[in-house]
Amino acid sequence: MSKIIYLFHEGIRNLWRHKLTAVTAIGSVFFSLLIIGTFILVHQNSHQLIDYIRSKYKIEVFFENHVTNEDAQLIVDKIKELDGVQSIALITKDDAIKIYQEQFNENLIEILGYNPLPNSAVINIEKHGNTEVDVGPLITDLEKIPNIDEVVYEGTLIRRVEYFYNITVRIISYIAIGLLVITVIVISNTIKLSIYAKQDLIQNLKSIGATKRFIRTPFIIEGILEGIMGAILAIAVLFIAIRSGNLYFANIISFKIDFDMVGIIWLFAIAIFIGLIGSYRGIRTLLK
Amino acid sequence: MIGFNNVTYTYPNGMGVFNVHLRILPGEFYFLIGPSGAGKTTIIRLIYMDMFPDRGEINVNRFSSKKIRKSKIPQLRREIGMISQNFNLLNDRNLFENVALPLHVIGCDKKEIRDRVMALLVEVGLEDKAYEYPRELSGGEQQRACIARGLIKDPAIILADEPTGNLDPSTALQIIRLLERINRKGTAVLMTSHNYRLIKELGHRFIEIKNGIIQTG
Repeated sequence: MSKIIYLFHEGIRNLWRHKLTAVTAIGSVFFSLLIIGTFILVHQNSHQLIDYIRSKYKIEVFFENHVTNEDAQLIVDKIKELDGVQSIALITKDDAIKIYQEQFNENLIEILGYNPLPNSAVINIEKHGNTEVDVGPLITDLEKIPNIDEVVYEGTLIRRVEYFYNITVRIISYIAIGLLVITVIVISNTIKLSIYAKQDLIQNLKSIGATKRFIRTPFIIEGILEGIMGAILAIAVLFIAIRSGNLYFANIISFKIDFDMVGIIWLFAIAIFIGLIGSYRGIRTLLK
Repeated sequence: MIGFNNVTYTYPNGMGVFNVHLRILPGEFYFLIGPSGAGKTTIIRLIYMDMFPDRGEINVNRFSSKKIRKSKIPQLRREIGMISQNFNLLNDRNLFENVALPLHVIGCDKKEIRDRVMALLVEVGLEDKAYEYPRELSGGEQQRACIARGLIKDPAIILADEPTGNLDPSTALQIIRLLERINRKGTAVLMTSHNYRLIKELGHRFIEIKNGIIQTG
C-alpha cells in the first residue's frame, strides 16, 4: 500500500519537478483537445442545426383576393388532407395587415383606404429523419386547387444549404479522425521527450533494483494527469466560447449551441487515452 | 558470494574482459585496480547483471548469469549497494529523499523509512544535511550520501566504482575509511580504483586488471 501511495505521490510531484516539460505536454493536449472538442461540438449540434434549417421548410399559399375568410378556411381544410402536409395555419386578411404593420410600421388601410393583402396560409411539411424532403408533388397538387393565386416555396435554397452542410460535416469528421491520430503521435513524442530528460532517474532506479512497473507507474500517472489538466483547460475554454457564442447569436437566430455530458466524457476519455498511450510509449523505449 | 568462472565479455570494438576467474567471499574487502579502460567498470556491470558474459558464468549470491530471468534482475540488484564515481544523486530531490529511494522500491512504510534513513545519515555524518539538495553539498558529502544510499537496504555486497575518482586525497581517504567501517560489519566490498598509490598502504587484498585480463589476485 505504501508503495502505491508513493508511486501516485511521485507522479504528482513529477509534474511540479518538471514544470517546463509538463507545461509543454499540457499545452499540446490543450490545443489538440480544443480542436477535437470543437469537432465534437459540431457533431453534437449538427442534428439540431439540421432541424433548425428544416423548420424553415414552409410553403406559403396566397389565395385570390376575392376569397373570403370562410372560403379560405374550406380550402385550408382541403389542403390538410394532402400528402406531405404536417400542419397548416390560416392567415386572414386582418392578420396579414397586422403582421405588415408590425414589420413595416405602416398602416396600409390608412394609406390606400382598403386592405390589399389576400388571405393566405402557411404549410409545415412533414419531415422524415435525415432524408431530404421532396416537395415537388405537393406544390403541383396545391397549384391545381381553384382560388389559389400563388404558391411560394424557398426550399431550393434551403435544400442547397442542407446539401453543402452535410458534405461539410462529413469532411470535418474525416479531418477530426486524422487530427486525433496526429495528436496521439505528437503528444506521445512530447511526453517521450520529457521522459528522455529524466534518464538519470530511470538509470538510478534500475541500478537500485526497481522493477519496470515501479519505474513506469509514476510516468504514466504523470502523463494521465497532464492529459486531464489539458482536458480541463480545453473544456473551460470551450464553455466560455459556447456561452459567448450563444449570447451573440441569441439576437440573430433561434439556435443554441449545446455541449452535453457525453461530449465532456469523450474529451476526458481522449485526454486519458493520449496521456496513457503517450507516456507508456515514451517510457517503454527507455526501459528496453 | 561473487564468483566469475572463466568469464569473457567483448565489446564491438574488441575491448572487454577475457577469461576472468574471481571469487569474493562474504565480509571480504577487495580493491580492483587498473588503468582507465582496463575493464574495471565492465566487471562491476557484469556483477549487477547490467550485461551478460559472452562466455563463462557469473554467480552472485543465489543468482547465476546463465539461469537468471530478466524479471529477477531487480531482486539481485536489491542485494547489492551501488556507489559510483559520479555520485548519481538526483538533483531534484533532497538528501533524505535520495537515500530513501531504495526503501520505497522495496515498499517500506513511512516510519521505517524515516528511522532507517536518519540513522544512516548519522552514521555517515550527514544528519544535519538531510534536507539539503545535492548541489548544496561538497563532493565528499555527495559521495557519503551516495554510500548511505547504497547501504540503506543492508546489502550483502557493496560495489564501489571509482568512488574516490572525483575527490581530493584527504576526502578520498575518508571515504575508504567509511567503506572499511561498513566492511567490518560484515558487508563484502569491491572497490575499483586506478589510483594504486592511494590504496597500496591500506593493506587490503587487490586484484589487478590490464587490457581486460586479470594480472594478480
